[in-house]
Amino acid sequence: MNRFERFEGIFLVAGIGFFLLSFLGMGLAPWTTLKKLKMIPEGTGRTAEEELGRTIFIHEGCWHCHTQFVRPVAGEPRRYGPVSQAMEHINEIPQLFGTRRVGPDLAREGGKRSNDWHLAHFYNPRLTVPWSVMPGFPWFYKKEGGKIIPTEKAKALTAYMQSLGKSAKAQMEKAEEEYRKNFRIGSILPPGDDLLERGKELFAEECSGCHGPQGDGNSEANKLLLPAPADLTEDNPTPEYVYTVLHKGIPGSAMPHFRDCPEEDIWALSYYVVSLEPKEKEPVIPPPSPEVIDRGKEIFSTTCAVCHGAEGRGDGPAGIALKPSPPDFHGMRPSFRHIVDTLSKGIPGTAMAPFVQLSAGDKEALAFYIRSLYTAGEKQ
Amino acid sequence: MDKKQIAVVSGPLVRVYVYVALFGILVPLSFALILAAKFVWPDFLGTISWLQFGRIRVFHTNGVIFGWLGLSFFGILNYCVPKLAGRPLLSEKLAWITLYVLVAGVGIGLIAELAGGMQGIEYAEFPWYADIIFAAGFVMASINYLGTLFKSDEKQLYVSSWYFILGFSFTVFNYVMGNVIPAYFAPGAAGAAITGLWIHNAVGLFVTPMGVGIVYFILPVLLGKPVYSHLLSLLGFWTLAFFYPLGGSHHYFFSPIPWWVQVLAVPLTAVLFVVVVTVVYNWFMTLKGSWGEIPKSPALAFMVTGIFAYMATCTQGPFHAFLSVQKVIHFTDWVVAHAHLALFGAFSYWVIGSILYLWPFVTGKPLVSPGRQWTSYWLLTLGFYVFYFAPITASGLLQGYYWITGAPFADSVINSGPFWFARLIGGVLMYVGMVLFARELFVSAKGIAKKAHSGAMGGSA
Repeated sequence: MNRFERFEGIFLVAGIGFFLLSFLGMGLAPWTTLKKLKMIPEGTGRTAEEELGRTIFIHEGCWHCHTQFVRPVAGEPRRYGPVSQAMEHINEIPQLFGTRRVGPDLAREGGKRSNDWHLAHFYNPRLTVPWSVMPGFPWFYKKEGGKIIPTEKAKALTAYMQSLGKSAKAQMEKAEEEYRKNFRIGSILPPGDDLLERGKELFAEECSGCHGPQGDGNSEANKLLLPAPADLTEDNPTPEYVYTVLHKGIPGSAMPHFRDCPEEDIWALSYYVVSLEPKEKEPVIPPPSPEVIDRGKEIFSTTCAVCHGAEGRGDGPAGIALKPSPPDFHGMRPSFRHIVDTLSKGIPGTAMAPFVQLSAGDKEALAFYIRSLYTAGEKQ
Repeated sequence: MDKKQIAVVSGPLVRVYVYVALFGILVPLSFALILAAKFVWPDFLGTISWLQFGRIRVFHTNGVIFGWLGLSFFGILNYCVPKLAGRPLLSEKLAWITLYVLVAGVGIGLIAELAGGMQGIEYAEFPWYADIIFAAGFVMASINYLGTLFKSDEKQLYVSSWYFILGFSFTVFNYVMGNVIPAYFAPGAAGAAITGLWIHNAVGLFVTPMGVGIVYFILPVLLGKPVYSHLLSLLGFWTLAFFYPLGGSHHYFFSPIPWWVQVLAVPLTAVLFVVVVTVVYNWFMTLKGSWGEIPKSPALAFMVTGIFAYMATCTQGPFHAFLSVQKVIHFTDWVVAHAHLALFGAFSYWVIGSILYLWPFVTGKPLVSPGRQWTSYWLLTLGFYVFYFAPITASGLLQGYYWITGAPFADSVINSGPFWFARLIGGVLMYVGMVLFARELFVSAKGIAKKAHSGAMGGSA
């Protein structure tokens, strides 16, 4: 017994010996197994900008709340994407797996959201995610004449976010594409007051940051997002239209999908968005003569159809590849003034340009025609 | 016997270490309050870069580990080690220099973190220049304490000494491994395996041996009787030393670390249950027949409450190693509560209890107010268990539940709100409790109150 109580015994056996056992057995041995791994072709290398972003990510301690590995359990592949592989991380010194998830895992973050979304989010996370408890990083931005301009650092952090999960990016984008292509509405939940109430709550929780508390797109995030968040009060969509957007998101804009939410919540939001009304109601416009509609149709087919499609379903030959894609005018009936306004100003950040060559009368004719496309009533 | 032993202890050396350690808890605790408030109001105190959540989070964790536990352990060791060795420290001068170097290392490291220069390794966030200073201080401390024990004329080393020898010899290597290899050499999963070891060993082979060694020293003197079983002491020590260092990768279960390493970590962690049962049984049997002493001595109350927390947290640990449990609790607040149960509930309580015991010996003045000590005890205990540990454990389960059921991520954040608010209340209570403890030490050392309370000296005879 006595030798287990001597200074030398403890120092040499427990202090040095057991340390070496632990280091060799549980530290170095795994490393030798991993050394055989080769980097996958798509690479896990980083550009200088991404590297700077990673350094900022480390220095600001982001990794204490955002992990970077997807576990094969707890439904994580469904929530985040493919399970993390050792070879994806062989260019990471130090590793940033992390041990606590206050915010979502970031291993598959690349490509999930637009750069604008990230830039607005880093400035003040609550602009894009109202329930977020993440700190803002306004010192990565400068203000010039009321405008918020991201510095190199904010851009680098964004580039780093987009670089995460590079090796699985193609696979994830393909899956996302498939999902959007094959998406069909299953069963429709009938509207109700409870649902509307829930929708209101959810809107404040999830949507108000970008679309504004009133849903009219009037928000702080508006200053940082391009295209700007839509004024939902002027769009008059069908619930099914909103439901589809909530499931698919709008690629090319900061609008993410919300398909993780329970179906009931998505319907609740859809009905609530449909119920949104503009501050000032549009004055009642007398129905146009058939000639005006015809004139609108003619202009539409020559000017708009190439993107918006012959029938205004957003599927024109030049429109299919656009991000964001043109809307389907059969599922939404924008207000008269909104259409005229959009024709005059365009939608910055999208392919929708201002059509200055159109006369006021042409724009009105187009507005009448576009509003006549709305077929939701007939479908039901 | 007492007189001979007191002569080997340098009072000022213990006192100043403790004062610095008090600074090392009160400042990081203030930051902890800000952190807790930021969970409730993310823009609390505005958006100032050096008060950014991520930066002050590491200020809190590093400050508490190195500034509070590290320095208070050393302060207590300045008392215990000479007594255990029956001779003064190898070099008191070295002990003073060690203090300056450690303070410089921790101070520079913490300021660098606030300035936005942290390193990306958990519990090793100090930048390299602070690492070097801290490591130098740690090596000096190791030389001093190990040298003192090595030169001891005592025929048999007491169990506390074993733990101290283990803690220092192991940690010197562990510190270098944890701060250098994942930062510069080991990529990805290989780095994670080593980081896992480092985090795990820092707690298990530095904090634990220091704390357990201190309990083995203080508990018997508070009770005035020897430890129950020498055999159990031996068994608890050697099982800890052997098994504990092998379970590190359990911090990264289900990660890309090779699967065999993770699978191996399950039984190697589960077996640690034997360690805690052995050690705690030994203490409880020592306490047998003396439970009635607790209401008379706040110091003893802190020690015993700490023992219960140690038992609980070390029972949680092996339970966490089960993969089915991991699926739910990993990444959640549950683990945060678990870590606080160990570092606050067990080790900080032992430190407080020990300091309360030895303060009269190193100041030459009795503790002034048992009432203040009890208030501190109850504020810390209520604040921690009712408003911190219970709600944060619950919110951890809740988060795990939301994630595993596929609910939107938002649910796990929004529904944690009330629990995070409770934590803020707990934090305030704990802060006040800690301030009262500090005040008791200051007031007693100054000897402001004239009348001495024999009660405060209760366990010291």
